[in-house]
Amino acid sequence: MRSADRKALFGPAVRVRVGILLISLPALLTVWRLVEEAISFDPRGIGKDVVTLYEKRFAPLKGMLPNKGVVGYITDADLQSRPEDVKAVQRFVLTQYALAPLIVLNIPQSRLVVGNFHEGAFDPKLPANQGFVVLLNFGDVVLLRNEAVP
Amino acid sequence: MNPLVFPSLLIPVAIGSVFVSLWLPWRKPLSSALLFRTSLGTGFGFGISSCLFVLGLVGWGPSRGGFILAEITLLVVLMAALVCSLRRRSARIPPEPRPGSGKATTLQRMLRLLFYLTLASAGGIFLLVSLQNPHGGWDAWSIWNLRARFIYRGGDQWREAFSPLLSRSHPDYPLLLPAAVARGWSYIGQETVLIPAMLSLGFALATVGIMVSSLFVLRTRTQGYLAGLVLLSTPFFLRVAAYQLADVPLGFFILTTIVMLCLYDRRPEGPPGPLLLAGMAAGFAAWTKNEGLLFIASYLGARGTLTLLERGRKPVLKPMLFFALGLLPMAILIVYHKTRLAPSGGFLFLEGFRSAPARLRELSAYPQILKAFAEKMLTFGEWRVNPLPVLALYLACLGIEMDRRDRRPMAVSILALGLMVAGYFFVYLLSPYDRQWYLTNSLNRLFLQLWPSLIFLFFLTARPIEQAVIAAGQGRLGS
Repeated sequence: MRSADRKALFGPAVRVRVGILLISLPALLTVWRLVEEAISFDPRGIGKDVVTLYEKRFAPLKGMLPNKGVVGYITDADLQSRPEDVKAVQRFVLTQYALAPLIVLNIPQSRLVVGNFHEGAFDPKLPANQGFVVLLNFGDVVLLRNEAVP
Repeated sequence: MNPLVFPSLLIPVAIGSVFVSLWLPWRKPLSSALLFRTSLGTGFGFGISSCLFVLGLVGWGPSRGGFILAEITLLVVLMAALVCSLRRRSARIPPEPRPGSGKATTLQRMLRLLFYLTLASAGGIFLLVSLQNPHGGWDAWSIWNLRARFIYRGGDQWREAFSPLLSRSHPDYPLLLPAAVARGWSYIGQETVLIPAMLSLGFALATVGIMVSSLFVLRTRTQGYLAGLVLLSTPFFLRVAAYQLADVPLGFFILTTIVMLCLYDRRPEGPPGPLLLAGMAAGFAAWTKNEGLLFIASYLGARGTLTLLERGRKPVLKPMLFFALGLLPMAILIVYHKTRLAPSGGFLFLEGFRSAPARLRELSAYPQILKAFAEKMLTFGEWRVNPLPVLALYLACLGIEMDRRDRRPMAVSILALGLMVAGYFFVYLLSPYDRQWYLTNSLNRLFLQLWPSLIFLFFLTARPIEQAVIAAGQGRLGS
């Protein structure tokens, strides 16, 4: 290739166009991503995210609890001994988020204890053996009174 | 939807925009100046009203009416001050002559069109992700919005938000976002997911706006659009914004600090407004996330190093004085928060400090962190096409051409961002958390905090297309 041809091929005008294309193409991918997201978007999923579902799950209990103060927490996942269990941590934090400004302590040593169980995991007989009285039972969400705490 | 949602957000934006206008000279074209001020004003406004909200809580407790009145009074006072200051300014500073700043060329029009198309697409993605995650991502509901709930729902007991019993949610974390969200809810008298979502959108738009409009002012319009396109082409930026995380606001304040320093260095003999705003932005960065404190330390370290290298050839006292003046109110508020409202964080810090020597001796940690840094640096944006080789190729095509006056702020900024990365390294080294888990879950967000500033500095360095065309002796490309 002759020097003049090379200059024309990689001349300033070509380099400017290549430069603009380099930035523009990834931007067009953003536009394409919107098309993809819009196609895969299911409006029936609105309001079904994990946080909103937790809010709804705890709504009946919330009305029965004091507005402020501290409550204990009990669950079928052993959160105390397995702090790396991300799902269990998430369930605890979501409980705190739903019940704020009530402070939820990750221990059952409190007069009032909120129980957060997987569906069908709560055994109504078990609390009595551990010194708890069931005050409210919504299936997977329960409110207990710890008889051992005055 | 509560009809007060938009006024509740527009008032801080107006306060911020008028406030920054008091400290910046008006330059033509006015459209760029307005975009610049509104973008700056969005971040500054949310920052100022979050501070006012916390001060109001500390001083008088929660009072919806009192708070609205205080904000409106502030807005009126600021507007009156702006009118007076505009009358006093006898002559406007003329616009800086820039190549290609005349009538828009076809190329500029096409880039503008692509920019707005990409911006609209990014807005669409934000909306879809927000609809699927109305409460935001994990950190949003477990830290920022949770604290906002405690403050808003707590009423007179709002200090419970900082109870050491809530250590899992880090009560010592800075308050800009929780206070801004709680302020919005107090304002409209109702808790809605719209407020944190709109705040997050506001910060994302302001980041794009400040980047684009500052390059309009400091370089050329195409340079601004191209920088905006690179940021909008970062999927992780859009996702983190929709997840209502604090990294986008922090990135906004870091970028704003750097932009203000560049503006000041263009006219060091001019009024010190940009320095004051740079100090405030740095303060707001620390009011947003603890990494903001690292940014301030990095900036001061970088500035100090450069001063030593210059051996007193440049004035130091005036820039540092005005930067410190801007920073001071935020510094006082941050110290109050850390020592009075949430002192428990200090114990955790001391605990980490005690175990530091042992962690520093952990030799296996160094390659582990370096490897994660090298990997995440290339992938943090969740791109389909990695922009780093693309930007390198762009630079090879267009070349480098810097304004002489930008060299100093550029050197300070690059050094400061480098010190921040070094700081992140030591945070991972000394952290009590499981290191691999911590690296996996946070490093990409740390890089995202610096990304807008890096894009800005890149396009401040790259030769503008208009100049490349002129250098080629072809006049306007595509005109």
